[in-house]
Amino acid sequence: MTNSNHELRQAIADYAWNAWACLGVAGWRRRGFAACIDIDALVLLTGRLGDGDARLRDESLDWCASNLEYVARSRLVHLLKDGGAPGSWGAYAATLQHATKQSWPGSSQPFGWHPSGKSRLPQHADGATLALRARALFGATARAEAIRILMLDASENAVDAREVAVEASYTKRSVAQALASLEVAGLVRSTSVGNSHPYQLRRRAELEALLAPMPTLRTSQRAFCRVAWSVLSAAESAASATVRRVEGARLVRELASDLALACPQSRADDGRSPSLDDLLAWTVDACGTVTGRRIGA
Amino acid sequence: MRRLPTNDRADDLLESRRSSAMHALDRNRLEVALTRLGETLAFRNQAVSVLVIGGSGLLLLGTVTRATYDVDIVAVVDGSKLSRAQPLPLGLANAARDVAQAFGLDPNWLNPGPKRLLDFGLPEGCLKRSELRRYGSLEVHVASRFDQIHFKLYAAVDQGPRSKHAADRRTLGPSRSDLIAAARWCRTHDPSIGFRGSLGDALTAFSIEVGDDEL
Repeated sequence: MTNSNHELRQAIADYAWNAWACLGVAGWRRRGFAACIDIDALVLLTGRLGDGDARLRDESLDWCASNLEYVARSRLVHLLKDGGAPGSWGAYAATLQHATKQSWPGSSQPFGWHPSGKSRLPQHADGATLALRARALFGATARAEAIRILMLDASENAVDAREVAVEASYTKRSVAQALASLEVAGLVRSTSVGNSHPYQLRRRAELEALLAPMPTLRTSQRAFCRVAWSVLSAAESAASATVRRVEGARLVRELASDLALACPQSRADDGRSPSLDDLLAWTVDACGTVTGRRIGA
Repeated sequence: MRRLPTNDRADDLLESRRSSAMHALDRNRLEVALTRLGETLAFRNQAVSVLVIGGSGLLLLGTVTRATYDVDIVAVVDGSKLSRAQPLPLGLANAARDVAQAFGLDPNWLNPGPKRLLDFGLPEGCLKRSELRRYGSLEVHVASRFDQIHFKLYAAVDQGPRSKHAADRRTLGPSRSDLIAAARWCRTHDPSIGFRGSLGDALTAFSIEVGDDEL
């Protein structure tokens, strides 16, 4: 593993630790988390990372087992289809399956694990845990995801139902049903034009007052977790200079929409295609931006 | 009177020439591109075998030095079985696109050659006569000089005596028997009287007169 690969793995583990600490995982002095944590994407990322940081893995398992109602396993099914390498997810999911007696997607063979019982839900509301509060209110459902996504849309423009479905990681049908229910409840309005079905939040002020505070950074952490894992797994497996350049091009092609969602300024300034090393440096930097840790500063 | 291009058109032409020069593949660049493609396929645990014709094939054989812009794949090879290259296998197409993006090649530098060549049949024994090159997990069967004469004659009849195909065919230095074999094969692809006439013209350009009984 090159130093930069190691640095990236450390940065992602640090990102995950900070997110988990905000959610109530014990054993980490939290620095904060500027964005809205995507709980399921975080679970998947942590499971894929494996035992590089065994305490992170074990304490996150403890949180999931203790707070099962806040994890959307049906959403994990969709997130797992992101084309990323499985990493250690199979064993992580199997261990949760064994501990919770519930089905977890993609599970393989469990490993020996004992719950520490230290995980608690967060005692103070902050922007990072907006999704947790939305789930406390609406359940771990497509409805909670739709509300979170529309609240986080800083432009306050109408968002097309297809975009909501991608970010929500539920089926289009589930998301359409959720949005229809929210329209009946008077929380969203639809302005359908042809095949386009844009939705806009109504009562934003009331919803923000109910679920406050909002995060300072509103970029998609689902997209970021996917990008971070894809870059890490490519960087750790691609050894030669040729393959690193080509894999960089592949990632830019495959992750284009998520790169734009995770960081709208992620394109190289000179218009060239970012290399794998550019993506690696960007991911390390983005982890630092979210967690408040300036790498190399 | 011919109109001068506007500035925009002049810029477009200049850009187009710059872009063409940037994307041109001489033998060295072609070998490097195929090596990178083979290395990428190996990294992705994919193995592909293809049959290549056209200018890139002639470059790899060392028959011509004229730079080319693309690699024409006429078939995907599986043992002795040939199958259509159109569309290219997804793994190969993606790898070629990523190599192009990473190293500034034309996005279509690797493309399926004319599908009718395979549909109507390649010259008998074409694969056996081909020269095999290995680039990582990419196998490239380069059509032989003899078979390239067939393809170039067919393309020259189609595109005329001033085309690059006619020039390439001359470079290949075909003998009378090579050309007659090629002409017979061309007739299997298009038995029409009109084509027979064009074929005769193309052969005449080589100072070869053939009777109907020879074709």
